[in-house]
Amino acid sequence: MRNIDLLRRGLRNLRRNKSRTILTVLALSIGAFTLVLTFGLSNALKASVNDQLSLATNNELSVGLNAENKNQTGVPEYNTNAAAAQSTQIHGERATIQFMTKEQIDAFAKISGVKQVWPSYNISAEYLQLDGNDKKYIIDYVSEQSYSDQTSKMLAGAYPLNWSTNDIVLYQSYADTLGIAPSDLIGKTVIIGFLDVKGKIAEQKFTISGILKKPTGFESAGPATTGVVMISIDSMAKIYDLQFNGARDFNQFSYATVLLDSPDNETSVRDAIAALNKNYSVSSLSDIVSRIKTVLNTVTYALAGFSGIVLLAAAFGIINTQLMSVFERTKEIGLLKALGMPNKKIRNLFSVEAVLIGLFGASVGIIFAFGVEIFVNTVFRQRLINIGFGSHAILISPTNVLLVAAGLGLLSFIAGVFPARKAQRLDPIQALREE
Amino acid sequence: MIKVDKISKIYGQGPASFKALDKVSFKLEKGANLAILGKSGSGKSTLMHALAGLDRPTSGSIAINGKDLWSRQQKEIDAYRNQMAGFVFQDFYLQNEETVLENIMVPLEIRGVADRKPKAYAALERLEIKDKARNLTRHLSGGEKQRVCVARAIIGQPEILFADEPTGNLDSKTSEKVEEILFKLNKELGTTLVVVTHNEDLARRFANSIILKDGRIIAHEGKELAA
Repeated sequence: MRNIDLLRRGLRNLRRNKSRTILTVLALSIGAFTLVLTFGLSNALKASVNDQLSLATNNELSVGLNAENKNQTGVPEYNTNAAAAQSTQIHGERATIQFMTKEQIDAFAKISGVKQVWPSYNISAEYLQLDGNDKKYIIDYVSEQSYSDQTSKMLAGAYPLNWSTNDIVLYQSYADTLGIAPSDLIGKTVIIGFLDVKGKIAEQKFTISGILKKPTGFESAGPATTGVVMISIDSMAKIYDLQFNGARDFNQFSYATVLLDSPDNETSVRDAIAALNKNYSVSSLSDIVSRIKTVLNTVTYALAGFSGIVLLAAAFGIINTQLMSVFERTKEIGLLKALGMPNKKIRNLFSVEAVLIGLFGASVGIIFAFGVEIFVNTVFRQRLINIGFGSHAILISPTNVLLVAAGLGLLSFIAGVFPARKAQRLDPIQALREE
Repeated sequence: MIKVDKISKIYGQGPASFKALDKVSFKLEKGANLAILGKSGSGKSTLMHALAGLDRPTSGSIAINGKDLWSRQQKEIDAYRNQMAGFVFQDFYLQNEETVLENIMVPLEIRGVADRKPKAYAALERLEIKDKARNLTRHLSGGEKQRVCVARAIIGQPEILFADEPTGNLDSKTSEKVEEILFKLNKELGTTLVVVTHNEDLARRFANSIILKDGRIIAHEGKELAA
């Protein structure tokens, strides 16, 4: 028998038992639908994470110093020198980090592959004032310059690629509050007011280089998203000196940023930092990305596992459907054998039917998943863009479709083995005599 | 030529065993017709099944055109059933949800023939039911069903046509028509015809016959038959 005839005969047999075939196909399609949708959701999440992280710099390491007694429980004893340590409780466990001195931080700069090192200047500013304007506005957060190009995030002006101490970049909210078109602010002078070490107001002038768009996505969940200004590291150092020189904790930093020549140097620099002191803890964007991806993958596999259970249950449906088919078609099997159909072809016929059920189930599930993808992505498109997630909540790839279709085909084939063998083993005479 | 040499068929084992055929031997010329007669349980269907390659004898041999049937490989036995033998069953065994055309093309479908319809229509024409080609078999009368069954048996142009009580489920008028068809095929196409029946009137129309009792040949008749 030709394969095409085997396929046609299989299709005819399935059509003959329409209700049973449809029910089994539906059971399988639920599993396929869930599985494809799970992959689609996971793809969209990964794409969104990748999009948002692609703008962040990936050649910076953040270095902190863990205290020797970092696993201590209970409240630590006060020590006059304890200003050099910061104790915080995270998830019920006390984690103590040691402040680093400027000298310790400068040592990182000598490591091969390191381009620049700077400490965490934890400065605060009081207000921002547009030169020639009486009104002063609060500054929530003073951010240090980013070494990655933020041009795509600019609303107006240009992101300074070579920062000078005069440069400042403002968040969009200042332009909105001032009621001035962002482009009209470029080149204007602003005054930043802050308290010096004696508690007196000091001022510093900057020239506006650019206006950054309102943050979206993960950045919008940051601590400050409105009153934010960005200045160069040298300006940060200068203000830090004015604010803290003479205070007890001057030149004591909770962490340092190490800028690498290239992301390829990460491992060697990490090793060199660890060689300086085993208590240094180093983290980078790749750590975060890898952690996020691990979480995403775990969630994906867990959801896929649940879909797998649904599919397994559906596979028993195939076994049941095909076994019933063998019982019902005993006479037909006997006739086919009597007319010379080889046992192997009888087995193939039932296997083809099982695989067809699987493929129909996969097709229905995949079509529904695509329907949901189109619906969700169309209806929620603007909302997704607004929250910075990206333009798709579900992204079903051709690989997902092929994987699910092939997987279901295989699963159905395996489920069909037992009924097919049963049909193959029937004796033609006994089968024809079966009542 | 069919040569049957001392074939026996025993079902079961030990004291519960049952001997359906006991050292049956005969020779039948190619193109001859043969009626196998006997009462229920005499072994006539068992003999036909052994000749048709459907049921392996416990001992003895059957040679078709000089070649032993049961020493062949299974795929050769399958090919024998598909290409050399044709079957007409008392209970028709038709797929009621399929058309006449689909039903009769099964042997050619199994053989892997792509262009089956011309042969199918030719067979239907011979059986005078060409107009029923697109009908579902469940809508046919008993006589028509048996003609479809005969068309299915001859579509592959077999050398031997086996019929097991072919008129057992038909009224006398329809039976007569089916009998005519079988003899016509035997005469016109030279197909060897082997019919199992307990109908003595039908048996009398055959040139050769054997009567079985308790698995043994108790009588035989015919020029083309040697027992």
